Amino acid sequence: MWKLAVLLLGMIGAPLISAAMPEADARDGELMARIAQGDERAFSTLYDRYSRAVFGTVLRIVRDRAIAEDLLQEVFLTCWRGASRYDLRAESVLPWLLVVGRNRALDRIRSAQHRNEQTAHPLDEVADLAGARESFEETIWKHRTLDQVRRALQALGDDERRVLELAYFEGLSQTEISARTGHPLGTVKSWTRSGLQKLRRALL
Amino acid sequence: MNEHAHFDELYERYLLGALDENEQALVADHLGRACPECLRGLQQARSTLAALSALAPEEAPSPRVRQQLLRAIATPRPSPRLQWVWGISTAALLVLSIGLGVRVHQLETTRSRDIAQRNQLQEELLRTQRHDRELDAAFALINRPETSIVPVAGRPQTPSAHAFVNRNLGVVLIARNLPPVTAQQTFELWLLPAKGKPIPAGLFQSNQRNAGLEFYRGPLTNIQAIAVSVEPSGGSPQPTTTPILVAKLPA
Repeated sequence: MWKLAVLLLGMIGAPLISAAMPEADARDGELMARIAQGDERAFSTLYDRYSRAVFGTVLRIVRDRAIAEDLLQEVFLTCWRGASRYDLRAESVLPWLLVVGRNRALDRIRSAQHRNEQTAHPLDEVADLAGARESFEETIWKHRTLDQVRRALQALGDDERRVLELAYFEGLSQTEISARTGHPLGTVKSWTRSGLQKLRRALL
Repeated sequence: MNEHAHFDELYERYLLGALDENEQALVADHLGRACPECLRGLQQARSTLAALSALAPEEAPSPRVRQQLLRAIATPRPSPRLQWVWGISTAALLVLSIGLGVRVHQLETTRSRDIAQRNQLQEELLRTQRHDRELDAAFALINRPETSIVPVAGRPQTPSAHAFVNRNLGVVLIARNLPPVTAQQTFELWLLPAKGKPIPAGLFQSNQRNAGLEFYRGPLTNIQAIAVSVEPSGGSPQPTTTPILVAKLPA
């Protein structure tokens, strides 16, 4: 009798447990809606999808794997806790994760610098653009913005990319970038504006 | 010209931390209106800026991070034996429910209630786990003899706080009567150095009783005061609103 019951459960229950099927193709918005309901499986899928990208950004900023892993946890826990409060479904999840990760990492760097525990990162450690972009694009922007991101980054001139990198990954102000690179402040501002404009147009 | 079109460009530089003081004030004032167009502009600017992350190589974090995260959000589950018993019980219930649509509806209602209860417990557990270690360290700071207690005056008068300040260990801020904030806002603690810009010292939310707690761990070298302001979710590199709490620290 119980075999019949289990069989019936399997048939009747199938639609109920459809959420447990492979979900690698689930869209971000669906995952966030389920995370807001406390769905741990959706959360782990989101983590598997984006943790490498977020970790890459955070590690580039703090240059310490242990600190970067700590920050990565913070970012994803913020996502888990905030899924129901923030309207993350209104925008793509990845930019939100990346920018929050970047802000947290810069906060950590600033606190460390304030305590004189951290030295400034030399500019010549900047990673090779082509290699970095290929890896990132293949797994992250693939489904939607691969071409857009490629176009956007290729559109940047060397000087524009350099000032944007210093601002984004090191959190330097325009004045600090001017001092670091030796270029006049007006020129730095101009490169920043034109670089952002090119990015925006290419991503539209 | 559409007023918001001008701000779209400013938002990118705002998020990048590339505005001068006048522009910063202009954006802060505009964001204070919290209109849907502003939020859309911020989201668009965030997407533009996030593309710069593609300049950093992807890196695989340790599998330990994934395990710890999943453990932090997980609720205790029934043992395999209990799961088996539960499975059989559910099967029996489902068999009995065939032809009884009303009963199925009742089960669905119960299930939804169980899920809601489980989510509530998960949130509680997560909060507890996250705060345990922080609270241990916070209480250690509070109990040190050299720690001083600084009343923190609010502006307007409603919010208030006490800050437990230890120059070597950091500051524990306990705030009350915090103003309501929207889903797109958060409270941010700032360290105000003798010279230079405010230093971000952590984000926090208020609880249902409008109280909030933030713990900044680290020496307070050359810090003259602390402040709390309301900022867009995710925090700001520099304050964008007038602080609601400010306190001068003892030397």
